[in-house]
Amino acid sequence: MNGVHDFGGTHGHGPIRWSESEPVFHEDWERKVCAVVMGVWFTGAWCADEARSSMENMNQSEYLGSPYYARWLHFLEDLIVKKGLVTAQEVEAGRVLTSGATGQAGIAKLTVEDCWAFFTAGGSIAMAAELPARFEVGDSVRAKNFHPKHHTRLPRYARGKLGTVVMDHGSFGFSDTRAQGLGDRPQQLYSVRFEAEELWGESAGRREAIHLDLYEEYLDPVAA
Amino acid sequence: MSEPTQPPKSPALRIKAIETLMIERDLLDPKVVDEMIEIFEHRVGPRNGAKVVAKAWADSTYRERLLKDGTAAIAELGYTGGQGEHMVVLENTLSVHNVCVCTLCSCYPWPTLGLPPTWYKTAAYRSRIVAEPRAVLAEFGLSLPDSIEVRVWDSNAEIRYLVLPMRPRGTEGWSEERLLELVTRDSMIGTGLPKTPD
Repeated sequence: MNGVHDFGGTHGHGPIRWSESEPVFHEDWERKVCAVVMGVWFTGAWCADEARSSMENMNQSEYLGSPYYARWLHFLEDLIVKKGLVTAQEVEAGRVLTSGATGQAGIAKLTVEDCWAFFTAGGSIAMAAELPARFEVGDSVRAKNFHPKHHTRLPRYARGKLGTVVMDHGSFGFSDTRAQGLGDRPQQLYSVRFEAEELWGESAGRREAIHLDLYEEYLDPVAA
Repeated sequence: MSEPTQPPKSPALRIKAIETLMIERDLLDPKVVDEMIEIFEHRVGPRNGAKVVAKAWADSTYRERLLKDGTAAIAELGYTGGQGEHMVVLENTLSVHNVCVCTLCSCYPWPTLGLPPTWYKTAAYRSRIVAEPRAVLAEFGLSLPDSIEVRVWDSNAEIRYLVLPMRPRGTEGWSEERLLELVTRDSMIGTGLPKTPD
C-alpha cells in the first residue's frame, strides 16, 4: 500500500528527538494498549501482518498525528471486530450487548502462565517454500516496480532499483498474502543490498548501503 | 441539519472500554494484562542484548557462533521469543558500521532489546536513516569518517537484527560482568558506540 507509513526517504518530519533513556511507557493508557494487544494477539486471534495492514489503513492524517500506541489501539479496535470477537457497537459502548457468543472458533483465552511461555516460544513463520529458491548470494536482482493497494513489505524507495543478494534467509510465509487472509504462499527471503547512489542518486552519501529483506516475488532477475 | 459532532474519545477511554468488554466477554483475564505489563516493562530489555555482546567480547568461540547463527547463539542465553525468532547479528569492524531501522513500522528484536525507544518509531528517524545515515549518526554524536562504510538494515520482514559493536580499547582481561556495563542500547541498534573504560 502506498500509504504515509512508508517513510523511507521522505522529508519534512523534523529533528530526531533522541533521549538516552526513557520509561518503556509514557502514559498508563499506552501500557494498557500494549498489554491488551499482547493478551489477545498471543491467542492467535490475528497475525502480525494483519495488524500492520490495519495500521497502514488508518486515516492518513491520523497516522501522522497520532502517538505510536494510538496506532496499536486502532488495529486492536479494528481486528477484534473484524475477527468477530466483539461487535463495533460493543466497542463503542464499552460493554457486552449481545447475549450470544461471538468469536472466532479456536480462540483460547490466555492464562497467566501462558504469557511468558507463549512469548518465549515466539511465532516463527518460517516454512518450506513451494518452489526451489530462484536466487543465490551474489546475484544481481531488480526490485519490482509495483504499487499494490494491499499490504506489502517492499518500500517505495527500493521499487525498480538494482541490488545484490547478500544473504539467503530461508523461506517464510509471505506478508502480502497473509495480511489479506489469502494464505501463506511461503517463499524464499533474501537480504538484498542497495548502494545509496542507486536509491538516492546525487543526494546519496558516500560509502553508504541499505539492506532490505525481500521476498522472492518482489524480485526480478538481472542479466549477468 | 448538520449532524451533531462528538469529540473523539481519548485513548484512555477507548482502551478502558476494550479492556472491560474483552474481560466481560471472557476473552481476556485481567491478570494477563498485569503479567504482560510485567514482561514488557521488566523481563525483557536491553540488558539481555548487553549480556550477549559482553559474552561475545569475552569469549571468541561464542562470538564465532553468534555471527554464524545469531538465533541459536542468543538462544543459548535464553533470549528467545516474539520478534526474535530469526536473529542476525551484525559485526561492526574498523571498515563497516551497521545501523538498524524499520522504515515501515517499528520492528525491533524484543527478546534482546525489549520494546523500542520512542525515537526509533518516529517518522524523523525512519525517513532519514536510510537516506542519509552518516548525517543522522553524526546528530546522534557518532561521527564516522568516509573510510568506514555505513550499512543500514531495514528490518522489513521476519529477520531481526542486533549490532555487535567493537569491543572498546583498554578492556583487556575484563570479566563479562565488567564488560556488560559498557554496552549501551544505542550501540546494539547502531546509533551509538559502547562506553569506554574512562
